[in-house]
Amino acid sequence: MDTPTEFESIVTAHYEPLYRFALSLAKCQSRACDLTQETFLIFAQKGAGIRDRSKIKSWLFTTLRREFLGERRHETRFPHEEVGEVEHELPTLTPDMAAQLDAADLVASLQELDEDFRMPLTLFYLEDVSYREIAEILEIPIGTVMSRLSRGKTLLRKSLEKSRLKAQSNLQNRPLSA
Amino acid sequence: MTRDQSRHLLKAYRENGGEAEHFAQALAAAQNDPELKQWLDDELQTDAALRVRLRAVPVPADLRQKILAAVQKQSATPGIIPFYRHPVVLSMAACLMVALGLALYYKSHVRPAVDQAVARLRFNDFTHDAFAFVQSDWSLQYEGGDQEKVREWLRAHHAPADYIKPGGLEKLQGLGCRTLDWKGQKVSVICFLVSPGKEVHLLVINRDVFGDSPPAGRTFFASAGKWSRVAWTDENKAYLMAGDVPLEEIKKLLE
Repeated sequence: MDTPTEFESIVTAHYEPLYRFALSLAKCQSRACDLTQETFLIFAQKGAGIRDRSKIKSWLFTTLRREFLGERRHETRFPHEEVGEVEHELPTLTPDMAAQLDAADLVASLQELDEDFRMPLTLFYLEDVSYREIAEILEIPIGTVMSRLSRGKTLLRKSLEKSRLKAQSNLQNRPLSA
Repeated sequence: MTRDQSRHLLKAYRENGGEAEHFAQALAAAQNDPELKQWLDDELQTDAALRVRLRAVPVPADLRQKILAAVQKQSATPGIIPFYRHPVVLSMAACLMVALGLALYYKSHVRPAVDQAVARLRFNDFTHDAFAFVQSDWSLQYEGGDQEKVREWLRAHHAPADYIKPGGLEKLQGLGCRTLDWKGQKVSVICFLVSPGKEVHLLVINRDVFGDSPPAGRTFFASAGKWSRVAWTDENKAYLMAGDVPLEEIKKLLE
């Protein structure tokens, strides 16, 4: 970047959604901060090569994802859940129930998903990127994005419902105070 | 399309996500099916609520400052220089400017001998200079992904426009083009996006300017650092395709 002000304005515009994306991937606040910071450090070195400025957002998300994948290459991945088996078990999450959710619960439920579903879903809900941009960031065909979103939402509802039932059960089992 | 198929498609639907055609049929079905319509309304409301929740995830208050401080520290660290300010890149750009200057001088002052000079142009020199050019700091003169408009622009600027693109480039997003004067000859430079931040460039020149052009169908690969190139000719044109991508990726683009 040639001017600090231009760089600063790019940081200001993108660091929050990038951090939230990083948090859904890394499952740890400090790691999410590091990933976000590393992404901008790479951008400071290589960003001048992006001629089409409208591509900066996608470039940042892609770089963050690659950094994450590079670091966790040796970790064991979550096993794929056979979505066909859960498709017909879609739990009912009403708009009212969704509105009462805690942000931390939503992030926790997202983090339970296999990253193949977690990445497009997080980008979908962050709303900062189009389907086409999601496809570019994840380096997968747009049809795959649609399919993973559809299936991922089913899995997310299941995870949210599980966490809601667990919270209810904890409430019921709590000893009554005098 | 059945109700279940529509529902499966619409689960991925977001009003401002684009790709309207993908959802058009399922959305139309929802308009004629009250049960599906009710389900879609609930789905969109639930998504909206989840979106609000996700966007409410707090971001550490000092993160922005930490990022800016880290970048400032990095740029103050000796030895870490942005690639475009690297001495090698700068010296390559300077050499290119000298070469272009000489070419322009040659064109304007030695015009009577141009036919003989053209006959001495070497294909290897073109690939070498063109490869150095794409690695230097330059910009597009025409921006846009419509390949027909790119050809029109190049034609209007007297640069080769009837080139044949390798199959792999057909799948990539076009960024635009520019022309380049190389030893008095017009070169078309057409750019494509391989992935965010990574581009590949196709340079095209008329084949008959060379005294030594190789037979059509042969390909010549080379790489330097992170950059790779491939050069070839067909009956009418000579081509160089180059980008900051691995050689294997360049080879795939030829398919």
